[in-house]
Amino acid sequence: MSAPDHEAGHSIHIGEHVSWPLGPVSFHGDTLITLWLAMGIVILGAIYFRIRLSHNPKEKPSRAQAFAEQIILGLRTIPEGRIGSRWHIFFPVIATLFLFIAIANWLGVVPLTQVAELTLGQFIHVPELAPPTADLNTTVGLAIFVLLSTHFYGFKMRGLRYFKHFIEPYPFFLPLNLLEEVSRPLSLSVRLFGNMFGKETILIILTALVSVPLFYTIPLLALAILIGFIQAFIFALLATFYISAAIEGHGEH
Amino acid sequence: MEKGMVHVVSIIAASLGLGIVALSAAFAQGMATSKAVESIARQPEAKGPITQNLVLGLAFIESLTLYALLIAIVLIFVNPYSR
Repeated sequence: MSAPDHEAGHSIHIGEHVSWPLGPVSFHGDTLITLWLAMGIVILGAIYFRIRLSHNPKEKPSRAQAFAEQIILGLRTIPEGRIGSRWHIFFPVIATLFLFIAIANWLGVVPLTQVAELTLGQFIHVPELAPPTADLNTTVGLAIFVLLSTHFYGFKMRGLRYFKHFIEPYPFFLPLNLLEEVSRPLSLSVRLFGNMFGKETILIILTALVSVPLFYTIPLLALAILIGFIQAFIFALLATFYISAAIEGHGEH
Repeated sequence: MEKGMVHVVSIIAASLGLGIVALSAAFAQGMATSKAVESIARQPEAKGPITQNLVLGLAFIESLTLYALLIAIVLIFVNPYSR
């Protein structure tokens, strides 16, 4: 839907996506663009820090190395607080989730659309670029990934006995456990999507109001930075809980 | 008249529902925060774990608000009963 803002001469589009059809399905084009941008930042950053890492423990670490080590050590506390010494089993999953979601959320604080319009506006029509996590498709994809990871690591660590957990602690818990399987990805995805989409909507409406000066959005942007970080942390933390619960089982501490 | 009625009732329902949900969430998060701050005051060296658990609990409560926000957005913008 769109609401015409007659004073500014343009209309607000909330929840509208550029459609890229491919055969029977169509993709949200603007979400894909920002998604690739976030992926590019994460992958290129990882490659850059990997190149700058040195294996010699004697020499003084460079700034890039110290920065990367700080981040990784901080991320390590998430699974270490939960299952201690076996954190290395699924640490890459947790670290990637956190880094990707944090960078994707922070793309909503940067004026992407305006920069793209200034540079590329003459050649192509630039749509309204929102963070990729403001699209329900992205967050549902991430949540399904977490769901599949729990089953994968549960099966890998405990073999076929893992699938008995649906009947633990009592057989009549089966519908409850199945419901939990459904509600976990639902809550994960809706939590992330709701935070990001609500923030985007408020920002768009606030900037489109003509009578309100633009610096009113500054505290909102600061809040957006904080919330982006917190939501990434919560997502990674909950993923840790679910995967470690699948690995541990009941009463096998 | 009938088509407009759906819009009107949807908007009233969405905003009223969100108001009630926000009220409950604020109440619950206030209780959680007050207990957390109390326990930090009693034991200041446990500030780290207490803060982490507090943020985790707040996010859970917040997600309930977001379910209601999702329904409200669907009702107001892509109402399935008025297409």
